[in-house]
Amino acid sequence: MSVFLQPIYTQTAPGNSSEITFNNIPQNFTDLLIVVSARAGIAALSDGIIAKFNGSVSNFSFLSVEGNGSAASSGSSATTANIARTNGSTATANSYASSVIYIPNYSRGNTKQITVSTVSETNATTTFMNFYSIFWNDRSPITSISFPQNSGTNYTSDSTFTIYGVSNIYDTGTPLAPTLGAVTDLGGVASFAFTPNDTATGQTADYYSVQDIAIMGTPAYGNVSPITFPITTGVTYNAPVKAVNVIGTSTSAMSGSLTSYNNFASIATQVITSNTSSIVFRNIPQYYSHLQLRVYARGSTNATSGYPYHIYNGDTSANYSSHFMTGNGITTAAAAYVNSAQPLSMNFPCANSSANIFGYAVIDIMDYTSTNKFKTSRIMNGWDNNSTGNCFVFSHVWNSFAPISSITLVGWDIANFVSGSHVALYGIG
Amino acid sequence: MPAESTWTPIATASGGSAGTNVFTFSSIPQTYTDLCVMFYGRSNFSANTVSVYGWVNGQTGTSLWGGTQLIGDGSSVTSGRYQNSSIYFIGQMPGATQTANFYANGYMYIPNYANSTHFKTIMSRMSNNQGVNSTDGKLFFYHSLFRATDPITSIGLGTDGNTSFATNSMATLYGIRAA
Repeated sequence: MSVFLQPIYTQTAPGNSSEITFNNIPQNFTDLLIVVSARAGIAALSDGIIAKFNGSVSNFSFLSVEGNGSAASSGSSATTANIARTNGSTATANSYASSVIYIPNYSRGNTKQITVSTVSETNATTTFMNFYSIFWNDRSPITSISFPQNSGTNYTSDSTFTIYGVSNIYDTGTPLAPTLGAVTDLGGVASFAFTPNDTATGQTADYYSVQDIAIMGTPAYGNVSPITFPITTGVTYNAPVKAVNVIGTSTSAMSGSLTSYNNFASIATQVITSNTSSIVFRNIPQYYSHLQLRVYARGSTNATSGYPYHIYNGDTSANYSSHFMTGNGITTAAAAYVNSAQPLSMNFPCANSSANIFGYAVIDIMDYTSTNKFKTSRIMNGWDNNSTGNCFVFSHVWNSFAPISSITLVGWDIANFVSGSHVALYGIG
Repeated sequence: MPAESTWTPIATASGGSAGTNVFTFSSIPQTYTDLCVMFYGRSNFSANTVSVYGWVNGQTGTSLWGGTQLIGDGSSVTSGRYQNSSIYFIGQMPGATQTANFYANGYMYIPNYANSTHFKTIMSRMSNNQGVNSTDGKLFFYHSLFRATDPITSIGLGTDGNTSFATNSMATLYGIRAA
């Protein structure tokens, strides 16, 4: 660790994006310092950049002091916070707003106080300079920071965002090389296990990284083992784990050639051994493109069949809609559940159906990490009893831009999922 | 490097050779959680459409299959049933008199196939789109039940009249692992 600023990463806006994100922020600095130089397409002299930590714009409040060249003022918000400024398209050409953001104790279990100074200086009479004091009422360590442009317009292609780590321990030497462990194909990502060798005082690593030595590309960071490194199917990688501090970098042994053809990864399975009213998958990894749930189930209620449903991120509000079409061997039918808190999404045999019969559902959830889409899933489902049965096709939507981090299957109409039921969650790269 | 993939091809059967009337997958490893069969096919039988059906564990003489179907033909959707059958139904594919180069495609999911205490269920989809100039196209969705608790160790696929699959027809069996 060092008293010097340790550059972690710089992103230059590609020109077609209104949000820049730093993920997997190393956790073993003391503080973070972020420098932003930005201009955006908004038809204005200046506009704001919204504060967003760990994928959330919630639990922020802020105070500001502002000068605009003719007056000084103060403002506040109890619900959202601006964390920086951009110049807009009507500002003097080639001028960019400059912001410095300091986040102390970002990786601790305390609420966060952030200080910001930002200026939007041009040749105009009216310009803007602000001091912000931002409070994030959340004890989570900050692992990702996003910079969504307030009006949703794209940053210009020379806008830059640089994140630095700051620590309060002085390093005297390069960290010792970590020992590479197992490298595991998880389908779309590879897991690099390693053992730190931080035994010498003053030679500890600030963070660890994985980056292919030939392709280079975006590194993956972490401060504990393992580090998950995104991989593309059919591409060959060869990478070490690096230990980094301000003095230098040391490198583990190479992984050796790593080529994955596995784009369908098993994340977790829950096997039901007694009546269970709900089944929950939490902490869903965010590095896949899509998810698939395979549900093999039977219900406990005293009926021939019934309808469970699924919700996301613990949201129990009427923030869902679902539709289905079905055939029962005699007739076809369809139904809709709009703006519902119980968005029916499956149908399974229950206690009054013949014994040893279970139903099956395959739920495909596309783009589950998108912050620009409501979350849509498609469900194929059915069961047969030899004398009765049903084929169902469901559609289901969650009216939220939040990435899906948890999925709950609620028994509801079937009361409980019975022993012998199991649900498997897969990630698709 | 690592692990066998989650979705693993086990075997492929191809049509075209004289006498390829059946696609058979035998000695299916019992180490996966679910199975999936992907099918792409056309029949040499002299008809516009030909049924595709299947059986398991070599059992074609029993009456243990039943199922529910949902079928759309572009103008209406219908539902029907079959029961006490010796085979399970998957859908239809083009026959020899159908416009050339049309093939049907479909898949079958077989969850928990190695279990020895539950009856076996198969969820299948088949698309037999014959193009805008044909009224023979249909989309099939079946959910079928095999009323036996035996683990599934083999799967067979066949057609009407026990006729052969056309050249370029194929079926691939995959194993799917859960964590």
